Amino acid sequence: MCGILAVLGCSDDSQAKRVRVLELSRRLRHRGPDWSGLYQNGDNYLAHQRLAVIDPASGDQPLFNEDKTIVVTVNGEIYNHEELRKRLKNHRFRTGSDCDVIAHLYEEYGVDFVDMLDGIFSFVLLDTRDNSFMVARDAIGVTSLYIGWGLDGSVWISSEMKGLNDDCEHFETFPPGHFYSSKLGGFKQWYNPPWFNESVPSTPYEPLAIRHAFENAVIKRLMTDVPFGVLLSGGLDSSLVASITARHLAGTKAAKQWGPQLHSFCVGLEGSPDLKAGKEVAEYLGTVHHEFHFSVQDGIDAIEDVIYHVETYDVTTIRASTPMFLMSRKIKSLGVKMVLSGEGSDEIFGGYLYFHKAPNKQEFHQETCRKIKALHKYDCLRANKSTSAFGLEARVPFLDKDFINIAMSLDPESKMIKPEEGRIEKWVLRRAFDDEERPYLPKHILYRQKEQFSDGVGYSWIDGLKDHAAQNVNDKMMSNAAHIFPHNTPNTKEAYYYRMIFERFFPQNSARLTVPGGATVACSTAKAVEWDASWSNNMDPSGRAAIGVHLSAYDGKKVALPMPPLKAIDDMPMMMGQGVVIQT
Amino acid sequence: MALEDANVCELLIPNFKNEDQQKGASSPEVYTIYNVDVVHRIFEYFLMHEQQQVLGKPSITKLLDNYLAEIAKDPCLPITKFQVLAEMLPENAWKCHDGLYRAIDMFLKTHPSLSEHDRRRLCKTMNCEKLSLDACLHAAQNDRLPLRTIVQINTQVLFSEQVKMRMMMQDKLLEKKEENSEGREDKQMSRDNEIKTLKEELENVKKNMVELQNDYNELQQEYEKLSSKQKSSHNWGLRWQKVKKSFQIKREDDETRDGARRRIFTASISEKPLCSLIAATTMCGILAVLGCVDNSQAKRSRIIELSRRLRHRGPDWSGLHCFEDCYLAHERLAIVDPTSGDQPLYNEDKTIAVTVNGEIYNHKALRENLKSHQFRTGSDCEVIAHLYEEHGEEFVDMLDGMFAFVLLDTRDKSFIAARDAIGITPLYIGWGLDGSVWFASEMKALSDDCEQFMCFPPGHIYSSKQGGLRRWYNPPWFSELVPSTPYDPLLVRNTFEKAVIKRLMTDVPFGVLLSGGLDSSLVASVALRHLEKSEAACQWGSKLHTFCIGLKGSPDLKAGREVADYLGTRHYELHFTVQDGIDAIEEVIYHVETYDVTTIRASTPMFLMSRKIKSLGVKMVLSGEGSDEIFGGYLYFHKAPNKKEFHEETCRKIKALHQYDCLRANKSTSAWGVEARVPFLDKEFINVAMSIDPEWKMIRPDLGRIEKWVLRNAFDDEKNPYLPKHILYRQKEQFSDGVGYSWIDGLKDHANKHVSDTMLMNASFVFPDNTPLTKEAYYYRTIFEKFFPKSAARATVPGGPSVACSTAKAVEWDAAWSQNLDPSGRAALGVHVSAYGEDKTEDSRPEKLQKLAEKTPAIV
Repeated sequence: MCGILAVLGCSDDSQAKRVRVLELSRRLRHRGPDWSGLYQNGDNYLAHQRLAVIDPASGDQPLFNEDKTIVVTVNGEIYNHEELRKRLKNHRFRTGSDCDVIAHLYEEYGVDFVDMLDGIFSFVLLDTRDNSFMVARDAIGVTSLYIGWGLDGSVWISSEMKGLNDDCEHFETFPPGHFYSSKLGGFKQWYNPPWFNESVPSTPYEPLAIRHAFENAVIKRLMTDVPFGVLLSGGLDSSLVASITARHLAGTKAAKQWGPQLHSFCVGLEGSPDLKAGKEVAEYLGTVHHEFHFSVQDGIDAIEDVIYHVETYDVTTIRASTPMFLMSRKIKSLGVKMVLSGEGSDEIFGGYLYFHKAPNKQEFHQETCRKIKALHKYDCLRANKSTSAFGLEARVPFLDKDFINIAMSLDPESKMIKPEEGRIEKWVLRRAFDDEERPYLPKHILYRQKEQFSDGVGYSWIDGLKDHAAQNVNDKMMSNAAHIFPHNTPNTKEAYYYRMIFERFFPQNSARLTVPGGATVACSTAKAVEWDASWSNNMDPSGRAAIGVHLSAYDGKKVALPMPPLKAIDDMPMMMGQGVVIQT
Repeated sequence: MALEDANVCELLIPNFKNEDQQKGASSPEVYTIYNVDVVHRIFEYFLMHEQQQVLGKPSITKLLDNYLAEIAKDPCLPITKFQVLAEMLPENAWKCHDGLYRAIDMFLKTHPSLSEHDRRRLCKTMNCEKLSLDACLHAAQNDRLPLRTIVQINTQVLFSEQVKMRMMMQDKLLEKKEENSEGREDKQMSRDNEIKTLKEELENVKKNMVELQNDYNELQQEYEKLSSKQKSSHNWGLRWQKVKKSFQIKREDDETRDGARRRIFTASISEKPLCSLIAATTMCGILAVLGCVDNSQAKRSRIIELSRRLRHRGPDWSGLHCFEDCYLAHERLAIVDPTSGDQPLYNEDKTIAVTVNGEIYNHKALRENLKSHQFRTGSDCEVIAHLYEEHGEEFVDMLDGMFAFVLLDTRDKSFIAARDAIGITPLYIGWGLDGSVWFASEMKALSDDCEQFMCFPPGHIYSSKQGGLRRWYNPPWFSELVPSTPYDPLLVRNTFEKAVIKRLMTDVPFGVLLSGGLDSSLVASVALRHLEKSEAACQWGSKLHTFCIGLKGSPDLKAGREVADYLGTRHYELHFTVQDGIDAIEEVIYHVETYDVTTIRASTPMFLMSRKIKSLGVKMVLSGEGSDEIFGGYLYFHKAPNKKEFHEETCRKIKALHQYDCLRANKSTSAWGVEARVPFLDKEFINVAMSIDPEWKMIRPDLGRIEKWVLRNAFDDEKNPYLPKHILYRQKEQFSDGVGYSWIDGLKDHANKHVSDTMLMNASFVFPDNTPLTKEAYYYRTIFEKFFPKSAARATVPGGPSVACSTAKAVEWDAAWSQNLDPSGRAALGVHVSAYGEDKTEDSRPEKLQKLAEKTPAIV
């Protein structure tokens, strides 16, 4: 995982500009502490901060084609690069880097090669022959990327907003699954999988197909030369990732160099649910397990850093990013450079609790599609940026292109939560790994219900944050919030507090607009708020009372589930009606 | 003969003692050169009989002044005798204390190991109000004087400044009138000149005045702090009393308020035992703010933010300890003790908190002596808290290692800060407008928030109780007296080996910076021999990793490779391009915090290399800094006129190391979280090396002794050679030369493109202090000013004339040097070089010196 910054066509090739680009590129240094490179061709600059996960001694960027007319700077991993190389028989490769194929694919196929790449990536490619360039971002947006425009007509591309926010007149998130071509003069969506149009699919559920697709996704991601680990919170998703990794570790290159022992990591306040659950799974799997304890004060001290790095003021994201951010620093200090993580499963399988209220399979499916499309603004952003802050790379097997295709072609009927049939959320995934002979996980873990991330690290974490915010934001400030922040007005003191910090680092209007807002219930999209009249009628923080009513109504249907704790209320995002919680 | 008519020489009665007496005497007084007692009696007699006359006879005071100045040069003279003599005459006998000041200064110079208390006692004998302006100006900058006296002098200067300026002007006017009365027309010209010089002088006085005002403010702040602790007032002006009183009231207020909300925050994370990947090193970043009268959340956030600026030094974890209005922040690089090594460190009952950046090599031995203490962690630095409990402030000299720490004693809310002997670890001290004292590993953490700051002097301790800085490091060589121990090659060898072995205490993967020169090659060779026994080898294999950087095809790469092949190390060559280096310059200046040309040139390759080293997973490297200073390895030492000058120059170089090579080695590696250890600067090794009769270190082509011959010869082992002969006796390439000749040229070209002639012409106006004389220096200076705009920051960087890295004093060794204190001095140096070349020392020499002349900031 690296940091890239490109300034294209800025009509200024002076030393001052070069120094400025270097300075801006340094703001992305945390993403790639190992080396940096700056390529300049006339008034085009490609800067790169490298994290060497494969071959630290060589393989510095930018990468070139044979005659150095095509230059590429890449942040990412191409998992199918060996296969692609075979297809490019007549090309000669300069390095062993997995990203080297990009320049050659461009030579061979022009701009339309992006869909051939399997992996996570964002790259800028400069064709010096006609001074054109192209930029692309991976399908789901696992790697972060921003695009901006300067007053001088320049186009800026940066891995993080902080690389370009001061120098661009306007900037925005680079849409995932798109590429931008200077010849074309705009964006083009290259990622067009069948599920994208949100029409309801009908493939019947086949547990083994899911299992194999996911195992493949994990195996692909074990391609590395450096010591790595697994983030193991003890929930279903991270436990599955750990379990599969442990099975396949022995055959990998990394195991030969660093031993066949899998390292797993878990963070929490002392005595938190995650620590307990993580430990249980780690003991079952026999991993070398590392627990990190942090105090609420540690977390509060880190908040500014977190907001600077994650570049958001979204309350849930900040709450969940902070423990991950603290953990990443410790993980990095152990010499681990890459971790596997479980993001994305909740979106694909409708794992959030509000999916209980999905009225029908069409709505259910459309909501999962919307959630996946928005992932790059929430969980991908969190996972990528809070680990990259310390030069740690997070890989997310659930967001494998092939796996998504298979999982999203399932008839959504099978994903629906049906307490009467004993199907809890993410049942299709649980069922797929329910192997009696060679169990991936013990049954009670496999069928354990979800703890949302910031809850799992300890209940007092959210309370601590709220108390802290309440000390620093007074009622008068809140009453004027709508005037001070007309866009995405913060509705709670906590949100206000985060927003103040965000505005200090990123005062531009464009920056504000990169962060999503709008009505939501317990992480739902605005559309799903319509599923229950009581949600949309209670678009203020005091909506909690109304939810209580609703809950007991729901309770009447005798749901036979081990239910999540009431605490989930606190985990709801600040916007609008406080979320749904199912209570037995 | 009347005493007042006597000559000083007549009073200098040699101390003749017969042998019997000498045998019986055990006290050191008998060995004083002059018989002070006799003179004492003479004066006593004189006073008894002619007391009335004393007042009218200025010659008697002059005589005593001169006599004191003479006997002060005797290092064996005890302070009491000197003081008694100085206090003999009644105070009103003196019109002016300048002579006395000169004598005291002389005494302090020859007795550098005097305690602060003794120095203060001595200075009490003179009255600052009786010093002339010149003497005051001199005294104000005299670091030998105790702090309190300087405070007095500054007060004095400020009080009397106006009066004296006026008087001076009147004097000058009078002179002019006198000249006029003589009526000589041909004096017109010279008078005009004189007016000019007078004007200049006036300007100077004004400038000094401003400087003094600053000093005064700074000292005032410091004094305010002292005054609350110490009750002693003598000779203080009325204004001082007022300041003190008002301040005390304020302090009391604060204390009562603080007491009400006494609480301790600790932000430390405990962590379960981890895998073997973790290991030991503790080069860190520390930041302490003490007594800032503000313990709000905003202040806390600000300190966290400032501490973040030191994160590169300690990327692995951070901690913040807050006690009332005192904050200790810490950014930590990996781990001696994974389970509980996070800082700050505490004593048993957590009343003493310490934040440390450093490495204590003898911590195990120290622990043995602290049997009654219970240690919380395995960290090598934890002994500091316990030593303080046991010995108070006087424990610092017991520590063997490199360190900078701040210790907070919450029982009486006092604190101390100290820095290692030579200044291997960086430390800055600053003062805020709110009366707070700041300490930080790097300037960038305190430059924005302090009104005044400076380098924390190495080998010193700052104590809030005792008030001010005081030197704890007092080795025999510090007085710069010429030692006479004969050269013992084996002793040098063994001590150096021990110094290296100490520094192998680590369990992280480590390496050696191997440029292929004598120093780094020796370090690599010795490290390799002892690697197998070290802890690190058990975990990381017994293969030694060595690193070398250079432009493609550079001399260092070649030489490094040769040595690596000979030693059989795992050698990494890192190549960089001139463009890479130029792109990094801004960062280098930001990290290294200097505008010194040679330092920046040499830091850049090291900075680039450190990043690569870190990315390979190596966290600690051994490096060869310090040898050139200790053994006089620089080429200009060829011109040392005699062994005394030679020795004094090496002493001066070692004392200044913290501003040059230590600064470079520490900060350019720490920028990437790599720790550099420098075995040549081991306390014990320095003592051994600096006690050698400097005659042996002198460069004697006639005897076949090239520079650093004592070191080379010490490792010239026929049976079990450390290095092949040709490497052992290979001549020096200075660092920035070795990485490739085009590096310096590239830098110069780059600077020439960005600094115009007009800019350089106005340089003395833009940068009145340490004016850059070359375009390259100007270029670095502009970058430095961008990051560190305060004048205090400017003052932390050394300046002054220099030839090829020499100190200002050594420029006097060759008339040709001192006459050419501008960049074009190269021509003169060239002449000198060719002359030297005829000495038939070595054919390569002239060329080499020529190169050297180009690469040093010629003469800046």
